[in-house]
Amino acid sequence: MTVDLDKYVKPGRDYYIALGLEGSANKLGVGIIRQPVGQLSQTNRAEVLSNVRDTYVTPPGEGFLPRDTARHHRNWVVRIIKRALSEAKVTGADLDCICFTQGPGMGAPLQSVVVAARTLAQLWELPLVGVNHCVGHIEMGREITGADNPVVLYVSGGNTQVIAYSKQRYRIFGETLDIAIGNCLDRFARTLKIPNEPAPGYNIEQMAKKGKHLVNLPYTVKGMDLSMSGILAHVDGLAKDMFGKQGKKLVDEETGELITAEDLCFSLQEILYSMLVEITERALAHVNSNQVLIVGGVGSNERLQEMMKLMIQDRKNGQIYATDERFCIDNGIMIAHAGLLSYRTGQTNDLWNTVCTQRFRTDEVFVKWRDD
Amino acid sequence: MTDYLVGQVQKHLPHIPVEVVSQGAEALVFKTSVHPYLPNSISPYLDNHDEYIIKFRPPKPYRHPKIDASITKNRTVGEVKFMSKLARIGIRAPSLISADFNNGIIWMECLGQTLPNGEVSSFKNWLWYLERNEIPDKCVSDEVRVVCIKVGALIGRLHLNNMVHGDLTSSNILLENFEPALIDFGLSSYSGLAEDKAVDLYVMERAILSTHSVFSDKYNAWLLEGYEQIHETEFGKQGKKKHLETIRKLEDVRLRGRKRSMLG
Amino acid sequence: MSLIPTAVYSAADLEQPHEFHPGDGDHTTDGQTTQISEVVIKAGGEDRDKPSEARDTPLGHLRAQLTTLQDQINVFLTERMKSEKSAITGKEEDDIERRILDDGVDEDEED
Repeated sequence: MTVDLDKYVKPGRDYYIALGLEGSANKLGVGIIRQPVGQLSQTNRAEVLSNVRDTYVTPPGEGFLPRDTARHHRNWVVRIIKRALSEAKVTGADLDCICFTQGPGMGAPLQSVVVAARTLAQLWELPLVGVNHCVGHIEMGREITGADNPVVLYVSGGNTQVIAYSKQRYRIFGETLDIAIGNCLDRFARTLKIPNEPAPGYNIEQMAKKGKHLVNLPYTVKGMDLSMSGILAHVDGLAKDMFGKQGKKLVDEETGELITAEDLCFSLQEILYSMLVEITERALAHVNSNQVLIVGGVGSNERLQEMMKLMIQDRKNGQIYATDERFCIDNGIMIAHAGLLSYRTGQTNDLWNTVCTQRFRTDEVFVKWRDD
Repeated sequence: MTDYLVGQVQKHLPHIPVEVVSQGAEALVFKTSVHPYLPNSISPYLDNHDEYIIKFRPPKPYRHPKIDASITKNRTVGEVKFMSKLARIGIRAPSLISADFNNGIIWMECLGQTLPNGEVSSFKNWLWYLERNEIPDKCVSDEVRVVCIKVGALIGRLHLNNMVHGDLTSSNILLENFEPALIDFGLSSYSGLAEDKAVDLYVMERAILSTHSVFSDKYNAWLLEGYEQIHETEFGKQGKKKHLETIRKLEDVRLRGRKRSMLG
Repeated sequence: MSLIPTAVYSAADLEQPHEFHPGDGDHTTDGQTTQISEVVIKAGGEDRDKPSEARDTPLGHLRAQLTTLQDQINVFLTERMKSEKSAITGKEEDDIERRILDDGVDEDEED
């Protein structure tokens, strides 16, 4: 039996169009997607009509505060929506529903964007669909890559999870016990005063490419979970010793050469990504799977993708799937896509039920559109 | 698994016949009919004289060579020490036969049986087998309950000896005639802290929830029931106190998990 | 057509509801309480997220008046939260945003 996804198609149409709004962190995204009727497959694919994004960027050494981030979203949301509509060449009348990120994320930015979603829904008399941000990433990743039932590594500024599907839920097999990978990298970037433009993690990656000496850092995997706050404290301490008042000099044990900021970035990446790949492999072995899908902003890191590829090569029929920055960095299209799937199974949110929540676990979502 | 990995283990163990059992995350598990230093007729302390397990941690090409060498060695050494301590205090686990630390090889006793579907009798495979092949009642039968309680008790005894497994999942528990044994000690450590024991329990609780979702509430309750019982029966009043301490921490750890905000 | 937004705030401990009116003054969309944080400017950031100016249309005027109204409400509520908080803890908390960001403290968390 497969789920009937076409009970709610508009009379006389053989497709759906949805608009999605994302603003759970410092990216404001609006996307418009078109799904043909019937089960989605490699021959019956969703089509991205537009996918517009604007990022709130802070000066080096500063993180994005909820208040300023919400302000950024408020002041750009109308322009970004207009741009998305005009690129997609659709109007409100063409849409089936308005999808929005209901959580998890930062409270203030989420709330500023849901106001826009509610306004559009009432303006155009459309139903609202609340979407779990993580499920948005997973569904978009599956659609873009064609990965059918992968183990998902979800790595971003606020999340670090290893997820696999079972019985209509995306279940969390492993996750961070303290801070998220992206948060860890962002905070280290702030310690080194590395620019936040285009993204702190991207700049760490570029510096890491120039690093060559591996500095000893703790390695903290606990089953399929991992912990990163100790590693951050350790490498932060080294950086403060080296670049603070003390100006302490560290040398590589083997070559006697000076340790540089680039070496620290290199070492931090090597250790963190080794841990991520290891817990992913643990989950693969545990659920007897051989497909990996990487989603989330940190998923665009080339070194992480390379390491994951090397891991998967050693597994029988191993396959790796990853998306580029249009889809793995937070965006509106994934919210539109996952929200539309939800809409097609009759799941919508009444206005009173559109309150956003900072905590919204991936496994809370009933995945009604899958029953494999 | 790719053939070159099998080639690697054969390079370290020439002339030893090996048959692949499984590819775990960090190790390959082989079966062999050969004991490394004794003729098969004289290994009196083992029940199974015909088969042995060789566990091989291959180099992981994705890791920096320095990180790789240190992890392989530390985990192999750690696992061997942990196993020998378990044997001394009588907690059920495979007996150690020999080890090669730098190459990440451990030779050990072969435990476990084969389930009717041909899979190894791990706790996970058994529960999955019941779920897939039997009427749902079987999944929460008395038999399952008793095994869960035994598993909980086994973990309790481990913790009462200030030993922490570090990777408690239903895959890492083998059943032999419904008697559980622990395996896979690469992430093990020694700690008397309630916090470390609580994290150990939390990792297991989550593994059960994600792997055996339908009946996870029951399984977890039974596991904790066995865990509690052993504290009292073997260590009396003091055990009771320790148990309370760990369970309180477990509640903290769970709360941390749920409350961890997911910003960005 | 003229559109004048108003707001009313009532609570159990208030004797009578508090009413907000934008008043006659000069209304702009550049609200006092919705400026970018000082830390950002101090750290060398620039503000590219300023709201656009209100147009000279009924809707444009409504937008500007709403900003004034929002300023009034923000000032009122901030004051109220502050006095509530200091009544409970006896100290003021100004670092909450940074802690939300770095330590995963929740905005709605009591501590």
